[in-house]
Amino acid sequence: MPLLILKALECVATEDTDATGSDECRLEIARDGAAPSVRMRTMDGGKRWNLDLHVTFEQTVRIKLWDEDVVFDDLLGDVTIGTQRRLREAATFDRDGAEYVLWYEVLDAVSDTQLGSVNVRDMLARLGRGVLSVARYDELIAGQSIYRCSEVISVRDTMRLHAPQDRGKGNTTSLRTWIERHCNPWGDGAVVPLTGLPEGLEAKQVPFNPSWRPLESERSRVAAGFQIFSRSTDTDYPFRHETMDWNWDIILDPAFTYLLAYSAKRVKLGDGAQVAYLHNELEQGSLPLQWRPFGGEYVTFFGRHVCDLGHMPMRTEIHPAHTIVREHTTAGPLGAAGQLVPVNRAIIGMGLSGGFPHDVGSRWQNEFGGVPDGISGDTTECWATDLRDHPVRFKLFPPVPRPSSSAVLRSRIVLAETIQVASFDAVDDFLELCQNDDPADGGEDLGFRVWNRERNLPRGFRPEAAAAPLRPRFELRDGRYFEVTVDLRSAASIPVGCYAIVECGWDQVGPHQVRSYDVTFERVTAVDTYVPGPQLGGDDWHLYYGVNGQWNAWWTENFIDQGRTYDIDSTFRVFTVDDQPIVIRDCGIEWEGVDFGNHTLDRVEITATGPDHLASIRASDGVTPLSPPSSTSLRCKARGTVPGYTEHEWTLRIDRRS
Amino acid sequence: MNGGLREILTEAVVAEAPALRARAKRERPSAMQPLPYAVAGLLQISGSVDETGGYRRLTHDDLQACRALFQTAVTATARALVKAHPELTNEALAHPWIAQNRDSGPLARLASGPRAIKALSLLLLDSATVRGFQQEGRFGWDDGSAQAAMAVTYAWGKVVGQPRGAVESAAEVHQQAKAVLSFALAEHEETSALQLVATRHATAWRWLQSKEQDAAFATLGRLAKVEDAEATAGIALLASTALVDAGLRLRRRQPIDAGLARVRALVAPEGAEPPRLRVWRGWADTLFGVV
Repeated sequence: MPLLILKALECVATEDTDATGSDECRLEIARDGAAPSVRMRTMDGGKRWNLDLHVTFEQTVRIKLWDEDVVFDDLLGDVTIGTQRRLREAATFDRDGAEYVLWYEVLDAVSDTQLGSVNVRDMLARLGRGVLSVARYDELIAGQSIYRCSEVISVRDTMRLHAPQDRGKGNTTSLRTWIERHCNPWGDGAVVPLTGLPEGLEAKQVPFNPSWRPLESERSRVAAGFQIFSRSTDTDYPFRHETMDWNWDIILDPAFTYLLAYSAKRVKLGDGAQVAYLHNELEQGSLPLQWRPFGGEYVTFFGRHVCDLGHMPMRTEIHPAHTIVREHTTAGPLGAAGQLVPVNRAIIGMGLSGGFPHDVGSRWQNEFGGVPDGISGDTTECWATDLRDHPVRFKLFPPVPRPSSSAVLRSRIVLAETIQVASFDAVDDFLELCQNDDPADGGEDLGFRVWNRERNLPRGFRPEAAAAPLRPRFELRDGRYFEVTVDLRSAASIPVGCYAIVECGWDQVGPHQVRSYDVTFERVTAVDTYVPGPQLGGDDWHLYYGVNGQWNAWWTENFIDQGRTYDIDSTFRVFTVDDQPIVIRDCGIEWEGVDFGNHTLDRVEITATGPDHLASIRASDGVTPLSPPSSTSLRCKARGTVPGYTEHEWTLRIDRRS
Repeated sequence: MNGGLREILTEAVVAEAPALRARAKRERPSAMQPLPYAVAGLLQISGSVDETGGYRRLTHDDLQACRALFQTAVTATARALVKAHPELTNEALAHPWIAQNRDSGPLARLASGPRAIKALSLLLLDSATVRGFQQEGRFGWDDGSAQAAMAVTYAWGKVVGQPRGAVESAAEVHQQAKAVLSFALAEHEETSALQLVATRHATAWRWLQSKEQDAAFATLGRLAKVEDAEATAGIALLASTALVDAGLRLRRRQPIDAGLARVRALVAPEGAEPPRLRVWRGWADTLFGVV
């Protein structure tokens, strides 16, 4: 017998236009033609009614929503739900100007709340398939990934990782039960329970109340998964941001799906199936380009697990993060005599500032025992992290299986730098720097957007080579992977940032083919801007572009001019292993100068499958070749294929080096 | 300037969306009348599936044109407000959301006049700003048409993903649009533009009861027949297109035919039928059969 789970009723807008503006809601639930059972509640715009009702039925359940009035009750909507399986479905009641959303699921009472057969590798592995079919997994992850992994799964380590943050879901000796409680995005067993979600804010409360409420506490939480979409946002609430957010969406590894709520955003696949993802944010003034996740990477990050109360439906997210570890596959000189071999590169960014969301007193209390002397004014609104108390430890796996019995796993530190300050007065200065929201003017106004020791950036806080105890440490496990630790506990003064790049790979290439390309962004033409030029009010472009995990930025300094071509001349060296794709992405906004009212740029999205990358790029949507077919080089124009408010066109050159 | 309303509306029926968009961008720095741009934007997206029972899916060009037209309507409102209330120049720049950004970035590089207009335009994206201005009497210069234009940009802006104020969800904007209209109607009950927008709004996101439908069509029919006079230029055209639009959404053939005939008479009495009219007629024939 099917099971209908009525999860929640959310009020987007009330019908009532009387003085109170509230609706006296009556929800009638009639199963299989029987007399309805009734639930009642007064509702306001922006409020949620957690129903959590389980109804078994045979054919249909009819649900009516009424607004009770003095004379005649108004029918706001009427839906009939059948026996067809529905996962995280929403029904809308929108008569008479009202707008209500009813969230529900229709499950087979026995099988759907559990996972059926369970495969440990699918559920616990990095980039695990979880409950996705092979075809859906290929479409969503496998075909887009620039991360390869030869992983050793440890059930014990997995459980240990989640125990501090899973609200007791791990209290079991049964691996199957553990997986059902952590890895099932459908049903109530794994996701954040309704009772764990706040009821929301009325619209009038939003400006004066914290829009993000920690789900449990201000303690840091960890999440990990496959990076699908990474970009600058176009609108933020000015009272709770100093700079625009950078957003990144993650298809969580199956073992992390319990961090989602039932209302999680979803990616729609070609066959109509929907896959839940976690949306995450961090202010750009506190997030150097070098740390920003890139499409196709594997990303692990630590931050504040919150429920966003500012919008309906309320969703969970990590907002902000303080540590981001992003991994992708490339080539590094770990072979004999420096031979290039396939490696996995991990880029580690750790920052004291997570942006300025306000209402963060308890975070300061947890991290520093309160707001330290020297921190004053709006810098106290920072969600701050004492990096000395948050060592990051993760497993760094090679990208490919051991190529021979004589192969040895090697690692190297590509970069290890820190920024430390001597006093909290200096921390205050650093936080002031993080609030600069106009990167176009360069210098101080870059804020903490670029980490570059040679260029003395961030200005006034020059990064230094990390002292030996602060450099990443490698512990070889089973001869098959490294456990990497970055521990800042012994920092001589207060660390406000740490940036490290490490690599791991076998010392032999084995049967794998490593290719090298130089991808040059020669110039960009602003074909169509939202505001044509300064005579009409003048906007800037914040355009971010890159290849396979490497970002660069172009911030116009004196307005964008429609029709003009700008020289960029930025080259990325890219290595691919076997059929690993070349992934070219850009994103950005036409910036009005404030946190809202901005316009997203159209986006270039090229995923060129290997091994013949040049032919694949030539055949990509939006690409117009400028050079004849060749196995060694390609010059082309690439237009945005994802619509925005603007149009732009890159001139690209891709040279194959080996 | 009312001739401008008629001209832009005609263009919205007969011209391609990119041309209309280019016009909106070109005229943004000098436009003082918001209504023509708002309703021209509305025409670009009429019949959207994002409205209840809509009948067509918007193209990227439609969206771009509508966004540009709405933005020009907002900018024109800002210009008119500053002209009527010069003190708004300083008030806009002193607003907390603007003040923290006026000394860097695009705002800092603009001359003082454009800077104030831009700042006020940005603040007008927040519907609470317009509600506040209404309650403070700062729309005293307006016959209701500018307020109608702002209501259009809020209520239909959610269809085209137009940037909104910093704290508002789409639903809140929708509610606020109704509030803006109600306030303006209380002051200017006779303004045909307000009646038109209010009626069109009522037919857009609500499935009206039969009597309500009759009343809406009667209002639109009456407005479609108004004289093309100074105070009502373009209203007949917009009301006629609204008849077609609402008829297609609510499945009523008679108002569609009446609206099509009136639109044809107003924009292209001779020569070939404009493409948009052919599309409307095609939809009607699909729904009801060829007459």
